[in-house]
Amino acid sequence: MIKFTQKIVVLAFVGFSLLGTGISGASADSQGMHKKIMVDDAWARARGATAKIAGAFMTIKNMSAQDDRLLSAKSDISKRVEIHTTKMVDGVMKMMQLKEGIAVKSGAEVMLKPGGYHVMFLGLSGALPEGSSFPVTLSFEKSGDVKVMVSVKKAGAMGGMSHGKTKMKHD
Amino acid sequence: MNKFFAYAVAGLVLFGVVVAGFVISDAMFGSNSKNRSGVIVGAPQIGGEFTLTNNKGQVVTEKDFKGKLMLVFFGYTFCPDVCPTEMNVFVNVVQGLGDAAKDIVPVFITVDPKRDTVEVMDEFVQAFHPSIVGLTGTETQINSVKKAFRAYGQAVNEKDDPEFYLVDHTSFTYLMDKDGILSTVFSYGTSPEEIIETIKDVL
Repeated sequence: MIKFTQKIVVLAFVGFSLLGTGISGASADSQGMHKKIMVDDAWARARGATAKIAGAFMTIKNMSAQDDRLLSAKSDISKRVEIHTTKMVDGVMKMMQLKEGIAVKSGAEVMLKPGGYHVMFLGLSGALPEGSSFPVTLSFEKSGDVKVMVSVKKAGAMGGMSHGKTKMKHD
Repeated sequence: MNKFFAYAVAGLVLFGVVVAGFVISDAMFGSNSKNRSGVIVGAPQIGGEFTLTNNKGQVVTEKDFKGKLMLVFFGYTFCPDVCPTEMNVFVNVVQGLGDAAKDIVPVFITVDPKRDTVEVMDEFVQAFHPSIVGLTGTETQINSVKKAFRAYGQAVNEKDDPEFYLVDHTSFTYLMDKDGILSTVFSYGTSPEEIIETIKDVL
């Protein structure tokens, strides 16, 4: 019961934050000043037709003067998109959703990479073939929405080898 | 007299502690003769009999793997991070072994048989390497193989999220010898090079 109440509170909080970013994002858009968050080398692993989930990895740089936070993400490729992390506890791998998102301090760089943070796609609408790419919209607390193209690498890719900077455009 | 009694008790307690210390240290380090970085040794009685279904839909038991080394990892295909990473290690091991790769079977056993059907398993392992065998089974069969390998696999939020629940799972990779007896346990993150070296030692 406590868990349920907590969830409502968290959901309400996330909802309000999203509302907030929506507004600030929109105003930033109209002024055309949003070169604050840079996302490089966004990639995912190839997945077959029976696969229901996928993960994407990337490097997020906060070039703005204020601390920011990746709150959520959305994409047409799946029913749901969540921010997750992987933790190893006593030899057991645990994956968990980060409902509070990922903090990106001013001037800092955060890497989403295998074994740690990832953007998780749940309920894929189709296969993710190697060599293809798909768009994801990342929502930041302060900087608003950032659209990123994710390149699909081979199933066992580990990243590292950059395919060059990911082209991205802001909403 | 009281003093003597106190000394006697103290002596006995001390003796007990020393004995316990020996027993514990023996249990912990006793069979630690081939210790190396990233390798956990001395884990008792891992492996044994199992009956599962491979990614081609055939029923297999531990006897089908006799005569070959087995590299075993427990995971699930709905896992976007750790399991593909370990499958990538398997691919590097198989490729790095060259000709010796024919003496080893890399095996991925699901801890999530409900969603990991034969078809799903086949597509998952094939995406990495044709030599990787994916094993699934009934819930009872999976529970029993988990028990045999002392592996852990537990869905964490199945009630809240019946379609896309997450599963916690053991991160170790087990190397079984040609008789199906545990040779080495590798912790997560052990490099393919180290696994290859160990396999060559065992072969």
